[in-house]
Amino acid sequence: MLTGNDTQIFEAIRRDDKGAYETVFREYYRPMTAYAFRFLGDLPGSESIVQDVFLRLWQKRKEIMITSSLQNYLFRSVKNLSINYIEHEKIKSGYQAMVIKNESDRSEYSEFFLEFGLKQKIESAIAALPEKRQEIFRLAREEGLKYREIADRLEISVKTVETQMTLSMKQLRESLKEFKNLVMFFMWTSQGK
Amino acid sequence: MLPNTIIPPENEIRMTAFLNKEPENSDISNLEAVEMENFIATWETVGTAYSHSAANPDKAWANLKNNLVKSDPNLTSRILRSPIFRIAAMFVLVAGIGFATFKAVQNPEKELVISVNQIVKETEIHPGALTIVSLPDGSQVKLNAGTRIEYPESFGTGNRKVKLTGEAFFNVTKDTLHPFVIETEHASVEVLGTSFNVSAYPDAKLVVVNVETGKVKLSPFVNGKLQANSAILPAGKRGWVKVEDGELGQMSIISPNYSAWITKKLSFQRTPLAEAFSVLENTYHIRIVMESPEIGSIPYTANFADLQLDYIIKVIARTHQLKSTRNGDEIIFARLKH
Repeated sequence: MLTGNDTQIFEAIRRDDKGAYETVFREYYRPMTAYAFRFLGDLPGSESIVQDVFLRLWQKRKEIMITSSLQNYLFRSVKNLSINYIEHEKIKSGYQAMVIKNESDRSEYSEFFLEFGLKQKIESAIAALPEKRQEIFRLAREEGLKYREIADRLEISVKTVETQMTLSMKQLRESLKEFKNLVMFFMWTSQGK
Repeated sequence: MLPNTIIPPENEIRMTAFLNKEPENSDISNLEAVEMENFIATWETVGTAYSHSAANPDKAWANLKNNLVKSDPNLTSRILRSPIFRIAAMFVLVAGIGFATFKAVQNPEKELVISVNQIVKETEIHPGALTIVSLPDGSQVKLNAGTRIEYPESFGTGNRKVKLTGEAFFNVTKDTLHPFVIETEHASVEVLGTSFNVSAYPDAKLVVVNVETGKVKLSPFVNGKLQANSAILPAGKRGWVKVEDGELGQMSIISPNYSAWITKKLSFQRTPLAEAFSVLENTYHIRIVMESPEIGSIPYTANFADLQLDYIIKVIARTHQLKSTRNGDEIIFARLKH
């Protein structure tokens, strides 16, 4: 993470240093997308929001006042644009309302800077799900489809989707318990609970 | 750390449904906070890992650079200073008058910086080949004959807006944050990410949308004002706006002939010849005239795939004892005299 040289890098961007801007982009793009995904649950939408944040960062580089750190500024911008989108589209679900509430007291963002090894472990846990169950789970978590949409697409009943999803969640909870110490620890300390 | 709670199965179902934003079965108000936190942690870990991996910084960077160049003259000056580009820009300027709108901005070094705001593509009445246009977001549009489409060089941060006269088939890139909107003179079509056909010819009585995949919202324009009433058309539906009064209608798509101008696959099932001729006109860009109007009510059944127009005309003529005469782009059908 760039937190150490944060202020210097932003000063460079302010002085039109495109190299510094690109460095920040490449460092923060994936973590910021993961953060937007926390709110939206939809990948193209999340990437769009991050693009907008970076577009504004460059366009308003001479006007922006950063009081905390560049990292906080970027992540908070993602949060604001995400919440605006959810409120504006009038699509807020109970789950999203809960996420918005939980995110109001967030103090740091390390859980979004996943290392490769950890991502691999999580991906193997999903890949270990039986084929049909895995397909249903990915459609829900990755594509953001609702149960009805999944049922229509795979030509099965909504009840089946519900059952399979619940079994997936149980199985994943079990597999992820193994490295709970790594993953969950991040989540718990960052929530300050 | 987290205590190891045994969660009753019906609670698990409700929690999973809640996390997936399902409205039914997802009231979690009386569930144990501790149970929920465990489930949430799993759901969010998976989501974070997926989105972190699936994000594409290279593609995003290319896209971002493109958007920045369009909006910041300081960034364009380096590119435009090369002599080749300057000459190319002059050709765009000359060719563009009367079609595209653009503004010329002088930067301090006295290089002419041209930022083209809108791009216009038009097809002829008798095009040689299918015109396919790629929009700045990767969406693809196929244009039929006599069609005009106008779109910005870069979509920016609002809606993705495109203006259409004529007929086009759209494959729209999914971007839930930036709705794709097609404006025709009498109707507005709003989409998320789908493939569908819009027919909005200037003299037609109807604006028609056929949806192949995804979902589309069709709203009428009356006297240039967007109307509040609209029709949501899912895949497999055809919707229309009556130009005269802005009336909306919809039905299931019965025949795929609406995309015959692309696929060259025609299917007629007791189709009145007048309608069949209409499809042929739209597909092959010719005019068909019936010497006596009652020829139009003859029901016709046949399937054609990728065949020459002349062959199809011959088959129709032979099947129903008609005579066909071709004068360039006009074909006349008449009753055979015995």
